[in-house]
Amino acid sequence: MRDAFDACLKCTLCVSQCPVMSVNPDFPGPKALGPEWYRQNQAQMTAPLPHVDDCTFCQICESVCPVDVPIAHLIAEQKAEKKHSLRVWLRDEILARPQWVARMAWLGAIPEPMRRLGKISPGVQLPKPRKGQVRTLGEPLGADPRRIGLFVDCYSSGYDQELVMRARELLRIWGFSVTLVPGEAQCCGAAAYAAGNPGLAKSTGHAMFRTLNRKKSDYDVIVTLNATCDGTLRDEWPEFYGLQITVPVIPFDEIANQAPELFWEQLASLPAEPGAWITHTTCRGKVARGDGQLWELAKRAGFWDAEPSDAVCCGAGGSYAFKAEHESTAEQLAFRVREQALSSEAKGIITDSGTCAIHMEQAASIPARHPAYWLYARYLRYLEEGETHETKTS
Amino acid sequence: MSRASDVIVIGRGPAGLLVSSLVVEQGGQVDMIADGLGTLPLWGGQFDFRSYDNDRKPVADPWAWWHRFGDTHPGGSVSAQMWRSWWQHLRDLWFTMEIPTEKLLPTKNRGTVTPLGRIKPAFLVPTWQFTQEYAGAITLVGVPDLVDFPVEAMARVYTWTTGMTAEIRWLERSPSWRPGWNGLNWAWYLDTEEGRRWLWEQVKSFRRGSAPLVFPQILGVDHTESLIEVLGELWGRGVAEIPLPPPSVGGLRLQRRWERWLRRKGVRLVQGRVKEIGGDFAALEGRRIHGGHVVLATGGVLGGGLEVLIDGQVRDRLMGLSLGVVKEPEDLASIGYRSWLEPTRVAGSALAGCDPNRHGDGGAMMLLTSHAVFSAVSGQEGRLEHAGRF
Amino acid sequence: MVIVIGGGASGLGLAWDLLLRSIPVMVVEMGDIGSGTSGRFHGLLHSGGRYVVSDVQAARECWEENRILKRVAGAAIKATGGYFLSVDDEGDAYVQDWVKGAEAIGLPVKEVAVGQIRETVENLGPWVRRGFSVPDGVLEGFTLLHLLRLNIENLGGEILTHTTVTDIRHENGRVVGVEVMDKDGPRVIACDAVVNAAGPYAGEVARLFHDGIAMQLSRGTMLIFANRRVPYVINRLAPPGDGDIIVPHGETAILGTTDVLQEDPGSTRATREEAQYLMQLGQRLFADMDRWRVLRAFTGVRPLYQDGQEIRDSRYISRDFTVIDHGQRRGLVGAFSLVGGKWTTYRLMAEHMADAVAAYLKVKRSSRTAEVPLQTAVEMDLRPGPTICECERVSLGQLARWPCASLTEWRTRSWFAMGPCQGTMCGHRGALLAMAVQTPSTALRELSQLRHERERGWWPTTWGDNARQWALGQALRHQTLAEEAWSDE
Repeated sequence: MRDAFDACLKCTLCVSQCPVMSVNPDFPGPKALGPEWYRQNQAQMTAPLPHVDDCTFCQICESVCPVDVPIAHLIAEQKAEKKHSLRVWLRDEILARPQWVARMAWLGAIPEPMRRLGKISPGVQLPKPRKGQVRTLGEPLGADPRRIGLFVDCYSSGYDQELVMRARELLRIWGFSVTLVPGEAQCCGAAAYAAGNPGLAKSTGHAMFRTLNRKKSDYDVIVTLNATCDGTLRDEWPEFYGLQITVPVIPFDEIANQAPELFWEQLASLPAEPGAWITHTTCRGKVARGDGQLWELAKRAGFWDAEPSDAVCCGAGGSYAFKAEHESTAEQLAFRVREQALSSEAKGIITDSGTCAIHMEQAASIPARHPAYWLYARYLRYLEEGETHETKTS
Repeated sequence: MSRASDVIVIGRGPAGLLVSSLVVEQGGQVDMIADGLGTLPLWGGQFDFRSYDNDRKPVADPWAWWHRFGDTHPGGSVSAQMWRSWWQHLRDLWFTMEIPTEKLLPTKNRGTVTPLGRIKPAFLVPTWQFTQEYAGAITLVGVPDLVDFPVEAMARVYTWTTGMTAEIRWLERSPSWRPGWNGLNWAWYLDTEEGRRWLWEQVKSFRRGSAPLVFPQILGVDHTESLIEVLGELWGRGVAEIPLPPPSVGGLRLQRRWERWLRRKGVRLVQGRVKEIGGDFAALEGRRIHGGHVVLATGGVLGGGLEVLIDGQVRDRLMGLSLGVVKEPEDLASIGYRSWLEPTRVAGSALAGCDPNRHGDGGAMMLLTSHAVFSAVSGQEGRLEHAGRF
Repeated sequence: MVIVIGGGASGLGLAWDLLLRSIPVMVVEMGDIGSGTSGRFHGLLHSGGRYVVSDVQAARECWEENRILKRVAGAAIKATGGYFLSVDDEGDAYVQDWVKGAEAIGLPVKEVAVGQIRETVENLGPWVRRGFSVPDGVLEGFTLLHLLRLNIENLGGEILTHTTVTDIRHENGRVVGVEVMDKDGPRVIACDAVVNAAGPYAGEVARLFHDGIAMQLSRGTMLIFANRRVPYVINRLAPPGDGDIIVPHGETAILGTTDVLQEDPGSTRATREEAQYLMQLGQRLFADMDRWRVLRAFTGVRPLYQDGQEIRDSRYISRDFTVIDHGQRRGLVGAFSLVGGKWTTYRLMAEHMADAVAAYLKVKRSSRTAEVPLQTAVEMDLRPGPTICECERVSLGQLARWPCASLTEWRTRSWFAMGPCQGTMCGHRGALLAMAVQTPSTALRELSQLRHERERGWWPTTWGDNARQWALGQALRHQTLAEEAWSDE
């Protein structure tokens, strides 16, 4: 990582794409907080700049930097230098361990006094854990020799078992054998890194790595349901954590595109999903894989009126939006999604992260879910109505 | 990714965007692969045809320049008709992307003003940019603490250069203003309801004038046209902007609109660094993307397509090809690929023979190379009189 | 009154010494303060460690001056400390000689385990074997020059910049004045004595004293890296050679140096070959140096002097200095030259020279420069205002403290346009600010000069990301700003 920390060209491309700068007039931006602060701090101890914590760690700055300056990671090191009041420190320590939060999901909403004491953003609600029944989708449509380790991120583990079951069921009928990893609520380290605790991030990541390694004889590929975990495992681990994962890590939407043709033909026999939809590739998804794949998947699945989101980042930022001091930034970023949803009268949002989904769902007042959720629903509809349609078309 | 595209475009700069657009317009599927952003948001957003001749004198009529003198130049064999169709196409393409320009193509270069108060030729520019046929009186809008737009000094240079008056009107600090704001901070602010209302009040209080009102380029990122329209009604004369050094709002507007359009046309933007290409694939770390053709639009030295080594050797970073050795600064412009067809399809600044710093022909070269490569991948090579060799 | 020719370290040091003896002084400098050798060095405050084997006298003087300067010029010095590192291909015999030499002059040297050094200096080459800590430091040249200037002016000394001495007035073989030329034309200034502290130009100035001196000019090339890659000075433990010192200078690091005889007293542009050569040498200490972001290369001309000897390799010319009283030779009476030496010992050189001048003027007071600390400027409480140079965090308020300065002086005082982008983003801002006191044509000409000055050192190092920085700078300058385009017609 240290390689290009001094390469900055001062071109300001990072500044031009930074989502936080576009809504937060106080935010000094990636160039000042990253390479410039770091350079100064190398020469003499330099106090962290005000508002350094306002960075969401979306890493868009890094993905657009022409000379590979690890901007967001330099900012994370600066965040680590910042001193906080005891209660903020305590709150951040907890939020940097989302696996704890996930294990407490059964507790439900955060009690009001705790919210105030812990400076938790008043607008943010934890969702009710989703544990809906998932019925089987029938016999596999093909056979794929690859054994998949379906990566259950801490959020899904605590709050969206239903999504995990739906994704697992889809993978099964696509012909894969599926194991759930890591098997308990654990974090890859992304949350701690984003919150400015690289040290904790590394120890958290190493613990996860050990767990994954214990089960590595059970899978050939890891499939992720969350773009942040996806990018962290595949790209961040080797570069910033000193961890090398030996099997391919692939996001769910890419493996979905490899589903048997029959699956797509069956979906295509259904009438198009009525109404407009928005596909939002999260910022970390854009950084890790790019943009446009989700939209393609949606179209292929019959969401014909899907349109790609124009928002760079929704503002959720893992636990970012939970912190009261970020309320305005997180809200304004989500407002962009809301505006688009309103103007296109969208019925739902298809997105590749659970925490982004709840944030957008609250902002736009329409359901926002992972593509696996929608694909499952679509296929279920096919099973229920499919044959009627086939008879009609024939 | 299982589904192969028709064309893989590597690079996200102006040439990459244009080649992708051309393919998409023909109904093709494009995968754009990039590990950075491309240079578009570094510039003010004007596309030059030919601004200076070989003696660095400004060119008034670029059509005539290419016609009469262009034979020393890679684009010299292109007919006026061909140039016209390409420029017209770009203008129409922009129109569908909601990048506003004049309806008719320019017949001459016009003059724009730089943040140094100097006059500079301009060809195709969005309507928000200030240009004039002949230098006339202007009214500059000063923005407190915006160091890239020091109006007093600019006015002095402008008057010294043109002999015309340049009056000044000052904005106050808005209630939302923060120390350290650059032009882009202002633009984000002026995209908000609060900012637009505030600016309207400010301009309303300006002492009237009879010259066009010239702002630094800060009038919003997404809602520029409506703001300019409202201010124009208020001021009673033209209202326009002068692009600033990066972060340049003009180029950012173009990039956002262009990419928005491409996203809606189903272009997949793959993030990552290409390690190897073949005739029909591009390999990234851990994955391989397939497509009918591969187009290299990775840029020159600035864009990162070409790298300069310690010993002065210039090499294509992806292909590993050595393209020459630089000794003096002038050499940089003359080193690059000599053909847009070999060893692979190349568009944009990686091609040699064009020096936009000296000649102001960056837009023209982007058009020429992008269309040439598009012709090649769409099987219409014959459209260009020579086979892509400089 | 004494006229000192040359506004570098020795000239300003001498003026300060004379003023402390209550001898009135005027300094005449043909360029800007520090525009010669004194502004073009690696910034090392020697501990003497470098010379303990080859030049014991110089080593002893360095160690003595090192401690004095930390005392009297603390504002311009960073006591970073340093290491001497031995690399595989150096024999043990030299290391032993070196340790003995250091002990002989009382230099506090301590062997430190290489593993411990690696903890604070990343990516040290694997072939580094032993390390010794020394009290090296960093001498910020421009800071010290501007500090001297301030103190000289506080005591009523006058400094004329952009003023050239064209001839010496004399009566009966005795100096009575100098003829100078500045932008307003020629004039004569009366004086009692004149001292040539013109560095590499000393040979030319001495001719005006009717007495030639044979300077042995040596060119040294250095590389600047964008970030402070090392926290302290790193020396290679070997006989003095090329490319064997890395100095952390402010937010940058400087790799020095080469040593090549040259005729021309002007500092010429460094070449790409020299830069490449230095990179090869530097990689003996840091294997990954080719990935360090380089900024520029520059050359300084050492004004070495060794009377009456044929020199083949300038590395073997003494770094010691010489005081020449031309009246004792065949030249004018009351004319002196101060030649040779090095930055670290500038004060000692000035002291010896001032002793000679004071004796000539029959002034009995002795030097006080080792005791009287240089006063720093009173920090004015200015509104900083907007940032002009983001790399070096130079604000409008800072520049406004020197309202009439040229762009060059603004640059060397504030460090504006000296950071990673080399003025790409701030050069034009500076020029437009200067227009408050300058005409558009003057300001634009100064901008053009600033660009050329920056490019001179930038071009030889345009590789990797620095080449991209260059391309960005050129595009902004020629396209976005149209700095040099048609408007003059």
